Amino acid sequence: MSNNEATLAQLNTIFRDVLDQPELQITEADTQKTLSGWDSVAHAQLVFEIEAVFNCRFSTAQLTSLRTVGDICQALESQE
Amino acid sequence: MTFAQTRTAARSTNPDLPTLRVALLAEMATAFLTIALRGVAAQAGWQLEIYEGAFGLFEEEVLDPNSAFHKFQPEAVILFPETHYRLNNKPLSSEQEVQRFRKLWHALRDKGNPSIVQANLVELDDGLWGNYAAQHPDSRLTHLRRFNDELVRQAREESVFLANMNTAVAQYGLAQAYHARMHYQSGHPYNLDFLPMLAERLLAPLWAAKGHIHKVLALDLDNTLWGGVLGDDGISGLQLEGEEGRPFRDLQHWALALKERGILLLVCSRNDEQLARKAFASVPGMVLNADDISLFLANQSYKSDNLREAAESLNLGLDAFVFLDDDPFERNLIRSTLPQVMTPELPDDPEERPAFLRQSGLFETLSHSTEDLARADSYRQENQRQQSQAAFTSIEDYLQSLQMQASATAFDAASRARVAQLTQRTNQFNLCGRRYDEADIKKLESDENYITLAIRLKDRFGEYGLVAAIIAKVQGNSARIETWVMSCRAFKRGLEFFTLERLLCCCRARAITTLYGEYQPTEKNLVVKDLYPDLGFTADGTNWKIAVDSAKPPEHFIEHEQ
Repeated sequence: MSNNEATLAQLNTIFRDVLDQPELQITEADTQKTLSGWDSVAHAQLVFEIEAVFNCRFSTAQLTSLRTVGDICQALESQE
Repeated sequence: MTFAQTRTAARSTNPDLPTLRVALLAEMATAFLTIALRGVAAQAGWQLEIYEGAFGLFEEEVLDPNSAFHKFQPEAVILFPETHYRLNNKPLSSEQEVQRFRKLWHALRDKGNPSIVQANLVELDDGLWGNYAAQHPDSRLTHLRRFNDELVRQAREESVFLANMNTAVAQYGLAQAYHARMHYQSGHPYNLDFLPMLAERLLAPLWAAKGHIHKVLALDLDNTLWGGVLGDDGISGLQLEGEEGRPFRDLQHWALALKERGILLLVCSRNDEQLARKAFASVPGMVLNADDISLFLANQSYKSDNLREAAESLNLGLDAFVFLDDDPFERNLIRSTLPQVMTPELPDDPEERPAFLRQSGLFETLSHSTEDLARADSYRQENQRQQSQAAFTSIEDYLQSLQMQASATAFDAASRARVAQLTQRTNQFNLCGRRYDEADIKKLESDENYITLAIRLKDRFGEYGLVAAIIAKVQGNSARIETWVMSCRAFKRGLEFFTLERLLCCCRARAITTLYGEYQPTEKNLVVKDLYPDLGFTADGTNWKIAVDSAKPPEHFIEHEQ
């Protein structure tokens, strides 16, 4: 598994949990429009849990640019 | 509990659970708190229907009779002002601000009369004055403290439940509880993982009002109440002192303080009882002593059986029990067999436990009375009596072993209130059913024509207090017992024999030769129907009489305390 795939798998677990969709399979192309339930409340929870799981901290500027799953992956890579 | 856990609990809500309609009016965004409230409620066995008011618009929701809030018809309303969103305002006059909430309470009382949970304000220092803020009469901190004090006072007057947010935040730690990102991005100042605790504090008064109050703390012994395993390490191997013992000592101090506020302590441990009691008496550093324990269940039975038995013998529901045990296996066993019992997930590390328990909110209550304080003692005493009775083959041996002592004194100011109460409340051992108030009793105290006796009893387990009274009217050389009452707590101990003996003694002192008694049947006093014949009185028409000189009350084992 590449680094990217591992990150995506971990993100998938968090998305399933927060959005309450146990069968969910996310792709990097998914956005707030393609994933039902990914609203602002869910977004805050996603960020909160991603920061805890990956032990990182997004800057406020980064936060507003996290519009797709791919954006989140990229932001996480830039943290490392 | 983390926020993610409450979210899972909130989703798995069982539709069979009873529902509660709660309106949440808060000075913050409520989307997250709502999730935590639902999750915490689900774990407590409730499902919430929640109405979320608009950010900080208390008056608009409550005072408008046509608001969506009123259409929702809440059974409970949570009013939650939040200091973080007040920091840009000038500190308000605390009196005026409390009046504002009081107005809301009254409006709620007038319309729908829901239960009200009022949160207090987090006492946040804005850093303008440094340490001096506490002394400056006009600092934000001073105003917040004054507000909270006044809120407590008025909430008590108005029977409004107070949720102590200030303490919740202090216990969690403001630095941990506050979450700057949430504050600015989500209109909500708190770390999501703090919300379950916050939700518990807000809901606890509502559960308590529904009667879900914990009254008993059941304690495991080995590695819970002390360090070490008594059966393996022996008494000398137990730890209550030094670095390793100190956390256990602190836990004992906490349990003792609970006992002193009226919570019953129970030992529930797989151990040998005699050895365990010996440990209580002899291990250095022990804070609790065996007398603090209302029920001592150290044996080889299942703990679930012990708890079930304890509930029966204390006449309490299992949902009144909290069970502390260091062993996850035992905890899970209790959780699966007795889910009503509250079994907190005690931290593995003994050092973590005292703080965990202080923050646990396990012992919510809405009021406190002096009866609560005496409860633990009277349960324990009665239990010891029952146990000691089991060890005797004859009732005489048992009564003798109690080492009872009783006093008999004429009525006086000290006994007045209790004697009146005794005549008013006693239904079974009450020969004629006459009731007296304090003024009546006071008159009798100085009336030469009456013999009065107030009987107080104690035994080696404790005091029963003033449990029996006699009022007899003197006419020439005879006396008539107008009232004879005895509390049911003192039945079957021979106290009636002692009482008659003292009465006869008074009669002799006044040269009275004949004593008359009368029995007036009521619905509840059948138990004393044959009292007079049993005591050797003979029939005299519908009444009873006995010659003072030849009267010989049955044998008893109560020593007369002069």
